Amino acid sequence: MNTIIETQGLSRRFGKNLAVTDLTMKVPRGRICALLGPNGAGKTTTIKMLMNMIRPSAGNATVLGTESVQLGPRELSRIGYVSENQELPGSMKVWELIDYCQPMYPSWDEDLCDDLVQLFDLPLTQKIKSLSRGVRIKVALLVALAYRPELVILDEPFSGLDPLVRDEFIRGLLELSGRSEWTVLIASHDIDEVERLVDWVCVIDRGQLRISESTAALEDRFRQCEFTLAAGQQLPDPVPDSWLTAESSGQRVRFVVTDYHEQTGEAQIRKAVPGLKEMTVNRMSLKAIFMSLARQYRRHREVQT
Amino acid sequence: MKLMLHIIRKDFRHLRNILGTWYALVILIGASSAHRIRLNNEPDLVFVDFLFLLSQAAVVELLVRAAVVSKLIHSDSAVGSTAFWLSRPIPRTMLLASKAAFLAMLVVLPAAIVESALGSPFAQSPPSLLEALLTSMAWASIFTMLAVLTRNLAGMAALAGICLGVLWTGSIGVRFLTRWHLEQGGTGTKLSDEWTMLFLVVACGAVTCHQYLTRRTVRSRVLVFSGIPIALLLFSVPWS
Repeated sequence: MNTIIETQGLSRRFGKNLAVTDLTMKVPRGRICALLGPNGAGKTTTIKMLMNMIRPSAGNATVLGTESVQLGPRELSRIGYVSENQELPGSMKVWELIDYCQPMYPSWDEDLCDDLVQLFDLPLTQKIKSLSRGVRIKVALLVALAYRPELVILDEPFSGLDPLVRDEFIRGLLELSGRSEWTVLIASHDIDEVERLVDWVCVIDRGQLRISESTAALEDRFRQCEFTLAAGQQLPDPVPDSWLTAESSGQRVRFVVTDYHEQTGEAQIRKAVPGLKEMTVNRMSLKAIFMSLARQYRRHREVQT
Repeated sequence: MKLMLHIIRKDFRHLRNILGTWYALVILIGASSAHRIRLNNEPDLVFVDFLFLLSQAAVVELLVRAAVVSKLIHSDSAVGSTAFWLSRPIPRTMLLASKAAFLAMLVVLPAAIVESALGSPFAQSPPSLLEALLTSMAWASIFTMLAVLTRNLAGMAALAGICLGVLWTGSIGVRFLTRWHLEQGGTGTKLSDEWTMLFLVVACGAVTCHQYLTRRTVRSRVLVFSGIPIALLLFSVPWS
């Protein structure tokens, strides 16, 4: 796999808290990758380490073939970064910020910049500090994309944006991904929005990587199953490891299968629970998959404590 | 070099209003100081009021100067991980050089020229250009060091307050040390103000460079607080 980001045992400690623990992850080149996880999972910390904004406590990361702690102007001119936490120079007008950023990038594309100004409907003559949060994020996206970066890193870009701005933001990204050969890493807990964009998913929980695979593969192997047990029949104890969040209401049972095969999946379930009735098997959205995983991780933690 | 000028131009655009205000204040205080030096031999009640106003204006000028430095440094903060420049292809050395050049050309030099040409509020005669440069550099270095270790003007004021507290506490200890030194028959003279200012410039400059190049704020602050007692010992105790 040709990777653009690779981490090996990456960890970051803040005092006694381990924000990221032994994270080993690969992001393939040319993908739009979602870094998913609940609040406090370690997404932002991971991204800040990738961008050399904070140092890892242990382990290392490679971005565009360079150690993250060695990232310099050459690499940063190939990375576009937008974060909800980033401070834009508020005293500048939008055109001044564009004017400031442009000479730093030899690959700055003026036509693309003009297109983005139009697409996002940006008020060029207004000061950035007077703009709403949504417009500020669009400005940040503009000055992160106009030089056609190889790698775009977005840290919670949708947080606090209204649906219309989110839609414009995503349309901008999708339109550009048609024009450019790039890799995008989006850290978000807002899966509804990310689902429309991504083709690779990394899930982290409590600073540890749980899943890293293509969206298609993930959607292929996860299924929501529901069936009715025959009278007097019980679920196998313990339930198979690949069944997540199994719950029952009377004789009706509902769970998520994590290793479903189109040809053999139903037969395997019937083998585990002979005599079951009224079985339905449904594909799951990325959001539903993430929610079931998140519930499972939480259950694991509760069992451990 | 091109990038350095680009950053200086950006900063100038950002600071032009406050810089203009500060220049006006510096010139006003300079002219008033020149007037005071001329009137020095004719003290009367009006002169006392004038002196009082001049000293107030000098304090205000220093505060505005601190605000200029704060705006300059905090616009590309060296603390934390959210500053805009961190994700841009700007080498740390280049940012440091552009801020230093801006300060030298547009803050240190103008203040020194005005002071050496017209006089300062508290001196009997205008200082030489070299003396004025050293004083101006010392103030700029202190303000810059405080700014690179904080996120905004309020933080800078808080850190300055803490430093003054440490300095004051340390000076009590140094006073006892000096008395003991003299009682033991020790002799010597304190180092001159010029040496003190030169030390300030070098020490504050070193902390500023350390912070820009490493962005290790805790370590930089430790450097500051460990430097204060050393400076006190060096410059308050009479050494033979």
